[in-house]
Amino acid sequence: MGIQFTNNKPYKHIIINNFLNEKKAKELLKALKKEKFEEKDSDLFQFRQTQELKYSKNKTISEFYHFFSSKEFLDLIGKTTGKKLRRADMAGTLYIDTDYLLCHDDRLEGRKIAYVYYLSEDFKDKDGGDFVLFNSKNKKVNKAAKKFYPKWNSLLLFEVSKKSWHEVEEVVGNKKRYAIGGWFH
Amino acid sequence: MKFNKSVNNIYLNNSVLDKIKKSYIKSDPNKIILRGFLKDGIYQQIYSKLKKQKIEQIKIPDRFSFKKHNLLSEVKDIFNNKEFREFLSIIIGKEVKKINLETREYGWKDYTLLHDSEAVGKRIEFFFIFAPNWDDFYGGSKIYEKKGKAFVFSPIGNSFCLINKKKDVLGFLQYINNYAGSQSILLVEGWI
Repeated sequence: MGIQFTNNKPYKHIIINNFLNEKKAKELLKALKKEKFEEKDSDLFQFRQTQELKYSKNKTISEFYHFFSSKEFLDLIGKTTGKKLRRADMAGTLYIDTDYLLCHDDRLEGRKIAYVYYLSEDFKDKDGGDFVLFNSKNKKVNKAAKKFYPKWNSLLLFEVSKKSWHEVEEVVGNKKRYAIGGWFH
Repeated sequence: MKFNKSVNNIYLNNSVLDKIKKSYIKSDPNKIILRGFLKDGIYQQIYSKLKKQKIEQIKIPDRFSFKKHNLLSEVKDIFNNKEFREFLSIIIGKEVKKINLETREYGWKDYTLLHDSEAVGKRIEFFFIFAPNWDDFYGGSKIYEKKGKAFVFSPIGNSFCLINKKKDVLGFLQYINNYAGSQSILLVEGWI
């Protein structure tokens, strides 16, 4: 997994399919849907987000957060990505019709690895919501290089760097793009 | 098709101009919106000509995405002639010597973002809007921010907007969503 993460282009990333067992993933989505989502918008984005999930009172969400923040899991992700990781932050996101996140690189102090765990059901090409990775040239963002649709129960990891330009394409239609995401520090 | 023959007569009236000037000075940041700016026939005529132009998609993903138009002679005649410069001078209270002009078209998936480099320097910006059958829900508003406070210029056709973009004022054009379909807005954007 580590080799794949390092060799993937346009920058270090990996997708892990069937991340949780199906029953757990469904339970997690059910719990996530009960969280309160607040609308966020700026020049760069329009979507809905929960509070930091470490404060969630829901047992399923809390268990998932603690699993993600456990030493064993941080060590596993650290080994895959070649980074020394100390903690993870986590929030739920929901994109509905017309929501989007335009191109940015995610760089902020302390962020080493970004992750998105998709709990979006039955997304097809026409539904939008793809995660797009961009090439960069001479330290500047260039053209779209790769796209991933939000595949149910898959985990995307990528290294946060000067090259990690990415966006979430607009969701078109009635599907709900649920995910849990954040950064390993 | 000079400015004085193209603009709605009301905006050539001295007492109206005086009110516009006062409104511009009173607002913070200094700004005005003038609706029904051009005579209807002129507005339609220029819009039809612009829609026939070949356009080029320009995109720098972390900054903007839009279609660039060539500058029509009719647009230059109105927005970059002596009469228009005098009109602007009266409102902003200082002589306007040079105007920079661009015509941009924004449709589905187009946008501009706030950018650090914008914070350098200050300038007075204006834009004239062509937007038939547009709904605010499609996006495309011009939004200026000053210390977390937002000033929204909705894309209403045949409107002229002017804003004094000081160092602490940043602007962007809101992302246009799928409800716009094949429709677009056209902006003649200028700065002094």
